[in-house]
Amino acid sequence: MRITELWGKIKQRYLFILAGMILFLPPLSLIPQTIGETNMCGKVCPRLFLILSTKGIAAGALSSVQKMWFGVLLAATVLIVTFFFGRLWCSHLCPIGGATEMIGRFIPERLKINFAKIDAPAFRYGYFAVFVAGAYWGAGNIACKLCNFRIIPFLAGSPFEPAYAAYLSTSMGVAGLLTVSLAGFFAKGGRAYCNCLCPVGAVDGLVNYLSSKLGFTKKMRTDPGKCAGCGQCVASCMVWALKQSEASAAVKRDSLSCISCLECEKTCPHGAIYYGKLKK
Amino acid sequence: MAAGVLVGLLFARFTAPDYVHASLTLQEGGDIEPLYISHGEGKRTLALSIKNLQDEADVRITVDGGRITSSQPPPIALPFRQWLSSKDNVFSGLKRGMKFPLSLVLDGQKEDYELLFVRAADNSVIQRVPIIRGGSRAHH
Repeated sequence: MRITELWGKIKQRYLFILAGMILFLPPLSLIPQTIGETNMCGKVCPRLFLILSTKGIAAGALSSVQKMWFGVLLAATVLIVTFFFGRLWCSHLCPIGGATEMIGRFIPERLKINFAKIDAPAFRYGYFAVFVAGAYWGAGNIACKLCNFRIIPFLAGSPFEPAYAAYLSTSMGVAGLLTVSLAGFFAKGGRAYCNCLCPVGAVDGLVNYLSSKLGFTKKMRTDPGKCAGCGQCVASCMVWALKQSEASAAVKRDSLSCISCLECEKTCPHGAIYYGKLKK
Repeated sequence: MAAGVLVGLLFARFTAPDYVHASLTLQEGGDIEPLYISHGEGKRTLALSIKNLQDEADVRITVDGGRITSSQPPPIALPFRQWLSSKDNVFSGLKRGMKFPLSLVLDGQKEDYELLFVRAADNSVIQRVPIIRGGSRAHH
């Protein structure tokens, strides 16, 4: 087989995700190591700074930015890329969502849970509201509890590092593993955690939705004139962002959930789905 | 949306009796706040974030009835950065102002424990941190 043919057969998105894993996850943790961390917690955490501090919103935000400066920078970069090019971080590089999706591929489909009945955007922003303001309201802090940015790196590092294994053997760790397993490995498409619980994904989805209205931004788009309503793309979507109101009706895209994975574009037999600027 | 809020609240309220995450400052003569663990049987895991305000480079950290592991250095340490090393509970390469994580697994056989920080050079005590059952911050 020629190299070009082989390259065509490989899911290139998975190669990017593997690169993301090498860059961010133990045992190598190349990027965290450059700033003195060993996993995606601490300075690398791209989530914790979103939480409103009980010590005062402005003072808390300033303190969080100082403590998690790399995570803030990472989240800002992700949002800027999303604004112009769609959610390429989530679909092509995120080592956490990518890991649950890729490991999920090895689990038989009959064992998978289909979360598609959940109204993902509504659920996501309800959960996100508690994530951001729960501690401030006095309702409790979600923070690191059951966080997949903790569970997946700890899982990857646990064969090498006893502290990770010790955490995963606590009931907090087991609950986290269970959450990541149900909403990740055993979820149809492997991305239910990303779609419903990821706080960065919630902000990213909002940026994607708003910027998709601007014609010059590159996004996953559907040409309604070409869509034959066959519904093949609906089945291929791992974040249930494509909806068909009835059989043979044109498919509608929910840009709040779409992660620009390009899977629907490959599936569409009519060339109705494309990644690019808005066609006039 | 109500379902999302409900799941969020469940997550926010979730506590594990056998796991505590806490932070402390290592400073001789400084204020010492006890660490609290929950009542009941079974092992307890404490994930500590320690801010070092001492000048000693080598510190022995022990707890009677407990096992100490550090999540430093990374499993495959790259050469461009210096990491803490630990051997026989002696942590080497500490610098003033640095933060380091410590994982502490207590056997659960005793009522109260004591985390002990000792200078490796002369075995003199820097700080004793009591670990006690219950208390108002049992789930912090």
